[in-house]
Amino acid sequence: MVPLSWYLALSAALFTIGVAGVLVQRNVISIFMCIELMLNSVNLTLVAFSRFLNQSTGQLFVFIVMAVAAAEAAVGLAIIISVFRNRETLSVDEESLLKL
Amino acid sequence: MQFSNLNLDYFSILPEIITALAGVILMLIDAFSKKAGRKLSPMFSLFALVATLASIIALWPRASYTASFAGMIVNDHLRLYFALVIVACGIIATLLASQFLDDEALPPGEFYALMMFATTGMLMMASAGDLVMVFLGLETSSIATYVMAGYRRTDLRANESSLKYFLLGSFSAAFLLYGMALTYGATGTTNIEGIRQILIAGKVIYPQMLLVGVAMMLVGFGFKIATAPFHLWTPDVYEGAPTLVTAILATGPKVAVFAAFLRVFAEGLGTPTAPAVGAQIYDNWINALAVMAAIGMTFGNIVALAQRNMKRMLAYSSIAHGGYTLIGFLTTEYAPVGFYMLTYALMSLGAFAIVQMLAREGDAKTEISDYAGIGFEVPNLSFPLAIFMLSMAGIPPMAGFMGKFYVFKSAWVSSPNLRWLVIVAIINSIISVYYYLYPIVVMFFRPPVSDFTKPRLSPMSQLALAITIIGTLYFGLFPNGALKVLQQKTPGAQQVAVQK
Amino acid sequence: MFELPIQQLIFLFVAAVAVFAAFNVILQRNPIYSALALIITMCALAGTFLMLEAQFVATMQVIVYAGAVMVLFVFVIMLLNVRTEEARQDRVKYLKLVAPLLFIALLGEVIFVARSVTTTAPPLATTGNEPAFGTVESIGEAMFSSYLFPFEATSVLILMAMVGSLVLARRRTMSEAETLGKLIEESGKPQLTPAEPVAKLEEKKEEIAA
Repeated sequence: MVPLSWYLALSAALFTIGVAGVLVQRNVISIFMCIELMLNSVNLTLVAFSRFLNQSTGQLFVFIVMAVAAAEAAVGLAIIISVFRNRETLSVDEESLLKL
Repeated sequence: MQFSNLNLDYFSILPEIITALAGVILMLIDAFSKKAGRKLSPMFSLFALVATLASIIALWPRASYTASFAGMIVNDHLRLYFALVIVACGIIATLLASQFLDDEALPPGEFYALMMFATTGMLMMASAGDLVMVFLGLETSSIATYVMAGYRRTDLRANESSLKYFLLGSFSAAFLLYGMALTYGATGTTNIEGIRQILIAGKVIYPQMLLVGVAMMLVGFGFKIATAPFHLWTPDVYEGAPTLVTAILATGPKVAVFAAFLRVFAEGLGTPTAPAVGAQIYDNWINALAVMAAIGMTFGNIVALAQRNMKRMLAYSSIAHGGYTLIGFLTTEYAPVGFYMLTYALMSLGAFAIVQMLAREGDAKTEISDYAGIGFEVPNLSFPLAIFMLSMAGIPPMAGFMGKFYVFKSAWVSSPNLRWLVIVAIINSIISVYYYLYPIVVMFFRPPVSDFTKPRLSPMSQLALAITIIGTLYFGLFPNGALKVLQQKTPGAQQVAVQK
Repeated sequence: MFELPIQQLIFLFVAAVAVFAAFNVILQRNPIYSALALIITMCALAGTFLMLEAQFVATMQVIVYAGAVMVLFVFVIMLLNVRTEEARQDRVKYLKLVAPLLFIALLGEVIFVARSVTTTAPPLATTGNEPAFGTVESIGEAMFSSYLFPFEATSVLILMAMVGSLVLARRRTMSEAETLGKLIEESGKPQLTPAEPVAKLEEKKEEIAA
């Protein structure tokens, strides 16, 4: 059997990569995808705990997270489209307002 | 699975039901008659919000710790009080919105609908009894506000502010979510009262993981209430968004996040007497928040000194106010936080409302130098702005003074460990007087700008201004009524007395 | 006799694929490659969900996440015709320094978390007529009992997301076009011209719709 720690380590590693991606990527859509990666890694943590605690709460939480992620994706991409219409680039470097 | 165990108490979610339904009806009004919608939508949303207010008051006698919907909804005094403040913010914002939408010729229907859905999310945060509800409510209100920030679609700055708000908002939500997942794993439950019971019983499965989880949640909440060092997004977003939306961002969602923050930390993790990891976690988050409060106040106030743009100044001032509120938070009582949020919301909404009216179409005039000499030209705007500025600076007899006084007093009395923080806060309040007085000086004692024309004031905006002014003065002079409401204890409280 | 730890080997393979693809997500300069790498990560995660007996979640992961959500991403990338961003030097410098530090700190946390937990999965409860763990049945039952309120609240969230994205991404109204025209005239330079390709694409879309 695979121990719980392996799942948690994979999840934490993916979360970390996502965070690093948000910082190093400079394209808004790619940054957004890194955030999706973070949410996905959290889902793995939830599912793993759900299995090891033997209760379905964790899996239900995952469904809520999926719905939220889908809603976020729709709104986020709409925001990106409306920015792009007014300005033809998606690099976060170009406008001072977007610099982190 | 027995459905009778779930306690499906529909009365207890009446406020959420009313606001959600109102959102749907507003969209239908907009779909069926675009022309009438402009007049009808604000009236209808006001009606719905007042109905929500009534339902909250009707729920008051039923306040208890018995959770409904399988532990998802808690109907105690914390929930009811914060819901009241959230809906009050909603009413004032709705009154202000009609003039904003008319002046900017923006489509009205969706804006009111989004505001209703955002309010639904905020109410869910206040009533959440489970981590999943906290997350869902937070996302519902956040996603609605992302859209509202970008509502003026032809304005590049507003678009970008919306994008920045969105990216950092979802980034922080991911941290919050990871914290929740680890907390779930460490305790085996997502129910906040359940977490508390497990901590008190000392049955935490993975103590170290709980520490990491709580730290992550702290980061997530810290972002959402915009306290230093997680405030980076605030000034740009507040400056770029349309001023009315900034007013909404700075008040309603912040009040709601504080409600959820209190629920999770002060109630779920407020266990100073629990064995082993329970007490350790309590100490850790109290210390972390104390540092965050100190940094937040000092940083917010010092950077605000250098601002020459009204909206940016108010953004930094809101970071500082977040710091003051955290001092109240450290008493783990909800009364100081609640009262401070009430006073802050009133004066903040009022100040942003006046900034919006003076800014004109497209937020063209938001520099403080644009206000030069307008003091006696538009006394109906300049005097209220002066009142709000003095109130924010904490000068009696305004509400801001009472709020600060109550927070500092509670912190001073509740724990000697917090006294250094109170002293830092008092020094900070004195520093802040300088930049709050600056706009007043510019308005009344500088030579007037030549191209100034009087802004239009719709009756609804006048009403909103009147409410905020009267509120600011009332809670400054007669705070006892509100405090009495706040100090009600929910019957059957299982709260272990906090002894320190 | 020596038994091959087949489950561990499968996990290690899936995990390696997930991590490799995740690195690709953050290191690719072209967003379309990032999106494809993210789809691979999601499918690999669906594999780990299967190993955790979460069959329904795994299915939804592939259909909703890797399917619907990522298609939306790819669609928007195509629609906006995002150029490959060349390496630029003007990105705030300190972030470049912060990223590896943060990476190390969080990696430390990975090891910390992993070390604090060493249990293997308990056997699944197989008592009576409870539906099996992780199936549609058991999820559905919990979804409409203990998670009833969050489930209903999600509908508000999704409705609002629909309205919100419509508000932001729909065509310009007449009054907005006028405002834009005025802004361009006033500034004297076409700083706010709409993206040509986008406008053309939209026209095409309308033609198809009509």
